[in-house]
Amino acid sequence: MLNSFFYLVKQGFKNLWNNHLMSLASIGVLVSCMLLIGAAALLSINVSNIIDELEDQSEAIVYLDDDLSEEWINYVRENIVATGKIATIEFISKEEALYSMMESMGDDGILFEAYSQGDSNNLPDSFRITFDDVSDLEETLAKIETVDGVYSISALTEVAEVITGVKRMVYIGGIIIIGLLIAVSLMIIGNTIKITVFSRRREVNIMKYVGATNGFIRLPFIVEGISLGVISGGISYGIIYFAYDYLVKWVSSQNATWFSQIITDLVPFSVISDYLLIGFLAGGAFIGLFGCVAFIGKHLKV
Amino acid sequence: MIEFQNVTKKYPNGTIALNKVDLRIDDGEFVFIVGSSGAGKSTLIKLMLREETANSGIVKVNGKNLGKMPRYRIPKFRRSIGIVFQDFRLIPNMTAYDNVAFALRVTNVPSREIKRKVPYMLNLVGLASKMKCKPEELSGGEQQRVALARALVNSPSLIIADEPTGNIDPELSYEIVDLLNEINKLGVTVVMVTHEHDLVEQFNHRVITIDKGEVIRDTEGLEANVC
Repeated sequence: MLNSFFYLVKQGFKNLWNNHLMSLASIGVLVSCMLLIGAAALLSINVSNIIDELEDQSEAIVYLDDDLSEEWINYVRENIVATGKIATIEFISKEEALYSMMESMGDDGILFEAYSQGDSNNLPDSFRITFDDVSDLEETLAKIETVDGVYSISALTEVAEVITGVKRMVYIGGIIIIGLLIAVSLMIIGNTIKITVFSRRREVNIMKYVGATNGFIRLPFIVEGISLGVISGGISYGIIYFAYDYLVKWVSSQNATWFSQIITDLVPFSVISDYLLIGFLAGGAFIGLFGCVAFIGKHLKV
Repeated sequence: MIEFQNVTKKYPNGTIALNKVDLRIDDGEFVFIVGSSGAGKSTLIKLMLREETANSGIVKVNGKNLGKMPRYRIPKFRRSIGIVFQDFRLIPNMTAYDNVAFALRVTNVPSREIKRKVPYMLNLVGLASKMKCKPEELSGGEQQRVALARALVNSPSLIIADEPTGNIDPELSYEIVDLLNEINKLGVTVVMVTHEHDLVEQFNHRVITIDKGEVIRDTEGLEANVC
C-alpha cells in the first residue's frame, strides 16, 4: 500500500514535468490571479492603516468644572476611560492651558501674562483625549458629558463621521473587490485545470480499463494540483515581496511632502508577509486540490 | 465464462445496438466476433467490460452479473481481464516497461515482483530490448505487443481483444493473433473482435457473426465460413 502511495506521489511530480507546457500555463494563470488578489489586499490594508492613523489623531478636549479636588479629577478621568473607546488621556491644568495659549500666540502671548498671577486665570482644567475608535463618537461624548464634574466637550464630530464613513467604505469595498477577484480567479483557474484534465482524459481512460481505482488515478493529479498551487503561491509571494519593497523605496526617494507622509503610513511588508505567504500557499494548494478533484470526476465514469 | 441472456442495449439516441442477444463462451475457448461496422461488436465488448450496462437481459462474466455490479467493484473486476484495443491505448508518457508495470501497480503488487514479471512479459512478446522506449518510439506492431504484455501480466483468465490488428501490417497481424492463439493454448479464454476475414480463416476457431445487433451465425472452427 505504502509502496503504491510513494509511486503515485512520484508519478504526480513526474507528470508536472511531462506536461510542462500545461503546467506552465496553469502556473501563469495562478500567479496572475494571486498577484491581483495580493495587490488588492495590500492596497486595502494600507488605506485602512492610513485611516486608522487619522482616527488616532482625532481628539477631543473635555473641560472640567472650576475648582475640582484632585480626587474628583481622578474620578472624572476614571469615568472617561471607562467608556472603553479612549486611546490616550492627558490632564491639562488651567496653568498649562494658559501657558500653551500664550506660547501659541508668540510675541502677543505676553498680553496674557497678567492672568498667570493669583486667581485671575479663568481657563478651566481639562482632559485631552484621543480615541481608539471614532465610529460612535457622539455616543461616547454624550456618556462623558454626563460625568459629574464635566463642564463641556469640544470635538470635531463631523471629521470623525467622515473618517468612519471612509473606513467603512474601504472595508466593504476591499472585501467586495477581493471577493470578486477570488471568484474570477477561481473561474479562470477552474477552466485551466479543466483543460489540463481534458487534455489527459485518454490517459485517465486507459488507467480505468487496466483496473485502476478512482483514488489511484486521482492521487498523482492531486499531487500535481497541490504542487502547481504551492509553486504559484511561492512565485506570487516573491514577486509581491520585491515589488512592494521597490515601491516603498521609490516612494521614500520622492521629495514631495505628501509622499513622505504616506511612507510613514505604509504597512511594513514584514507585518503582512506571514499572512500573505500562508494565504498564497494554502490558497494555491487548496485551489489545485479542489480543481483536480472536481474536474477529474467526470472522466472517471468509464 | 461469458454469458449473455436475452440482452438488449439501446442508446439514449434511440439506436438499438444489441437486440435480444443470447450467447455463451466457455472457459478456455477462442472466439472470433465478426460483423460489419455498426453491427454491435463494440457494444458487446463494452458490456463485457462493464463500460455500459444492458437495458434488459443478463450479462455474466467470470460468474459475475455485471448489471448488478456496483461501480466501486469495477476496477477489481477489470483486473481479472486482459484488454487489448485497436489503438493500443498505451499511456504516452510512460515507457514500455512502465506501461506494463502500471497494470501490476494498480493491484498493489510489490516492486520486487514487478521487476521480475515485467521483463519476463516483454521478453515473451519479443520486446526485451525496447523496455525503455516510449510508445511514440515504437512501431504499431510493437505498441500492440506492449499492450498484449500489459493485458497478460496479471495472468488473466480472459482476454478481450477489440480489433487488435486494425492498425498494424498484415504480417504482424498474423503474429499478434498467433500470440493470442498460444496464450489460449495455456487455458486463457480469448474473445477477439475483428473484421479481417483472412485472419479468421487462418485460425480454426469458433466465429460469432453479428449483424444489426443480432447474432446471425455462430459456427465452430471447422465449419466457419465468413465470406
